Amino acid sequence: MAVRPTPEQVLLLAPDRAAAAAASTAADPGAWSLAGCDDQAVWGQYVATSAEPYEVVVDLDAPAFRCTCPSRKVPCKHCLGLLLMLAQQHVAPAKRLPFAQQWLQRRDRHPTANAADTALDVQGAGDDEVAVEADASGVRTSTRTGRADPGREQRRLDRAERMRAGLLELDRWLADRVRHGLTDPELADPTTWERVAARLVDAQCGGLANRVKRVATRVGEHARWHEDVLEELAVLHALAQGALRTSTLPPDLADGVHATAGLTIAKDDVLAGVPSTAHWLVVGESRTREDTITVQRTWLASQAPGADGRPVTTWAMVLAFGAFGREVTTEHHVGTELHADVHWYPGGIALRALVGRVHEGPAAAVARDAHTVAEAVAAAGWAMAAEPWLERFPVLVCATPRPVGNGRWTLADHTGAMPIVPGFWRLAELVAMSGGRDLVVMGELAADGVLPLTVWAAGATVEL
Amino acid sequence: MNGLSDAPDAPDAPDALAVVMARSATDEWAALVGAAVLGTDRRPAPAPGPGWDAWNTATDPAEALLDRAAAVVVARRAGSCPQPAPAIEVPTAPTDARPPCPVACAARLGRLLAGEHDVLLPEWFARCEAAGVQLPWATLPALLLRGRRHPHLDAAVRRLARGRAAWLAEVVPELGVRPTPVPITDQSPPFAMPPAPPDSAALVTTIVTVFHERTATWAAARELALAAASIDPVWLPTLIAQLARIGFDPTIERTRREVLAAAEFRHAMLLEWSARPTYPSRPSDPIPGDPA
Repeated sequence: MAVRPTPEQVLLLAPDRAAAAAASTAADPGAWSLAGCDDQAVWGQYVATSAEPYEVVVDLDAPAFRCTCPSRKVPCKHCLGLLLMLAQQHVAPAKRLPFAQQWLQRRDRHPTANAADTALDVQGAGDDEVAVEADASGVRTSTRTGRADPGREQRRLDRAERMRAGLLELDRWLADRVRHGLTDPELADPTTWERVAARLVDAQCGGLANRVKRVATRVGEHARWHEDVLEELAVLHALAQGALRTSTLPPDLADGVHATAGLTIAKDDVLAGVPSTAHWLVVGESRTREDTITVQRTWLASQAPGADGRPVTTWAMVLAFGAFGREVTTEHHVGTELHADVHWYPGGIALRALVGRVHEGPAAAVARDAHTVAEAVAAAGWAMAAEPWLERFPVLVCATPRPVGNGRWTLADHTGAMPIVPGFWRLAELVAMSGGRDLVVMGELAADGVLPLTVWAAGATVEL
Repeated sequence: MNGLSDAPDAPDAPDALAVVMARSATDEWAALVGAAVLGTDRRPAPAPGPGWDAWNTATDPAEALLDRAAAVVVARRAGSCPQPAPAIEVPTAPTDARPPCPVACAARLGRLLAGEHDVLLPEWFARCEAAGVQLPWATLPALLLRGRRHPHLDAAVRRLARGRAAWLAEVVPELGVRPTPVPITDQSPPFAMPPAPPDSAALVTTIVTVFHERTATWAAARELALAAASIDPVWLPTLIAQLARIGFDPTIERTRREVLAAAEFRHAMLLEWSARPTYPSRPSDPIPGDPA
C-alpha cells in the first residue's frame, strides 16, 4: 500500500512556487465532488468555473498525475490540492469513479512506465502520464513537460486559433461544393484546389492540405469520379469536424485526428513513450511524391502466435522524407530483422512509429507467417473503423495472383480475393514468381486495391 | 471491396438494424452522389433510409449531405469484405525441380540487366545453366522483353526458363510477349561468351601494355572489356592487380576504370557461382583494394 503523504511532501512535488500556493486554495473540500481514495490512488472532480468539472486522478504508487484542466503544469494545482486534502485526511476511501478506474487500468497495462517513474521526475514517464489538455479553442495537445516557457504557450494558442480558422473555412468550402454540385466547372480548375490547400498550409494544417491536393487529381479521372471525390470530400468534412471538437473525442481518436490534420509531434516526445520491444522484420518499403517531397514508408512487422493458432501481426510504419538535393535514404533494409524498441506516435491506430534502441541486428530474415486474404481485409476494416481517413493499411498474405479480366488482377486464396491496384507495373514479375501458386506478399491495401511491395519466394526476399 | 456486411470476426452478431443498413448502403450512397453531383441547391438529398437518419441532423442541407456521406463512407470502408475468388482459372506453371538461383547470383543478374557490364550477360547464363538452377523468376519478364529484339537471347532465356516463359506469356498477355520463341534471322546479333583466347597470359600482357603505352583511349574500352571477359578466369586476379597499379593519366583513366570494373565484376560473379561445383576451383589471388 502506498503511504499517505504529508503536506510537506505534497508541496515538494509542485513544479513551481505559484503552483504550491495555488494548491492550498484548491485543497478546499467544498470545491470537490465525489473525491475518494483507495490503497493505490486518489481521485475527484474539481468543480471549476467552466461548465465541466475537471477530472483529477493521482496514482500514489508512482506517483503519476492526470487532470483534464488546461494547465500545462505537471502536477497541476488540482492534483496537488487533491493530494493535500488526502494528506489532511479530508478524502474518504470509496469506490473508484469510472474515469479513474479507466486511467489506472491503462497504467497497469504498461508496467514499464510505472517503473520509470520516480517521485520527482514525471517527465521521464510513459505515454499515459502525458498531460492531456483541452484549451479554450477545443484543440487538444499533448505535452510531457511541466515547465514550459510562456512564449511556447502563446505560440501554441496562436497556432490553435489559426488551425481553427482554417478548419472552419475548409468545412464551409466543402459544404459549398456540395451545395453548387460536383459538376461546377470550378472543381475542374486545379487552381481552386491549390488555393484551398494554400489556405490550409497557412492555417498549419499541412496534412489536410496534402489531402486536398490529392483529391484534386481525382477530378475527371474516370467516368465515376464524382463518387471518388464525394467520398474524399466527406472524409475531409469528418476530419474537419473532428479536429474542431477534439476535446470531446476519446484521447486516442483526438490524437489521430490531430496527426492527420498536420499537427507535428516532437520526436523526443514520441521516444519518451512506452516502447514495444520485439523482433521487427522489415517487410516493405514504398515511396510516394507529394509536391517536391518524397515520402518513404518503411513497414515493420512483428509476429506472435495468437490464441487460435493463427499469427497475430503488429505493424509499425517508419516515415522518412526527402527533397531534391537531399534524397531519402533507406535506413532499415527490407529482408532484415532487428530486435528493437519501437515507439508509436499517439493515435487510435498504432502505425506510425520511430525505432528507438536497437538491441540486436539487423540480420537477414524472411517472413514466416502470412495471413489469409479474409484476415488481412478484416484487420484493415477494423483499422478503417477506428480511423476512416487512413489511406493505406499494410497486409501480409499468402495468396496467388489471379486475373479477373480487363487486365485487372487480384490476390486470391480460399477465403476470397483483393484487387491489385490498376496499372501495377510489376505485375508480370509478381506472376512470374508465383508460377500460378501461392506466394507470400506484403503490400499496402488502399481504396483501389493492394499495392504489392515485397514477395517472398524460394527463400528469397524480392522487392517489387 | 465495396460490399458492405458485418466484419467477419465481429464480436457480436449484427443486430437487425445493422443488417437493414448494410442492405440499404448502396441505395443511400447512390442517392447522396446524385444530389451532390447536381448540388443540394438544385436537388436536395432524399430522405435517409432506415438507420441512416441518425446522421441527418444538420439543418444546412449541404452539411447534412456531407454528414450522411461520411457515415456511409466509414461504413463501407470499415465493412469491406474480400471479393469472391475470380472465376478465371489460371493453370499453374510446369513444375520445376531445380533449386532456386542463389540470392547473390540473382542480384548480380539484376545489375547486369540494369546495364552494368552487359558483355558478361552470356557468361552469367552459361554459369546458370551449368549450375542447374532456376532463373530468378522476378527477372523473367525483363529478359523476355529484351529478347523480343534479340532472338538468340530469347532462345537462351526460354531454354533456361523451361516451360515458365511460355506459361507467363500466355497468362499475362498484357506483357506483350509471344508464347513461342522469337524467330532467329541472319541479322540477329549473337548471344554467346566471347571466344576464349589461345593464350590468356599473353592477352593479359597485351591489355596491360596498351594501358602502359597510354593508347587505351575510350574508343578501345569496349574491345578491352570484351578481352577481359574472354580470358581464362584464373588470370583475372592478375589482370585486376596490374590494372590497379597503372599510374594516373587523364587520357586513359576512364578506360582503365571501365576495364578494371568489368574484370572485378566478372571475378566477383564467378566467385558467387563457385559456390556451385561447376566453377574451376583454383585458389585465386586476393582482389586488391579498389584503386579509386
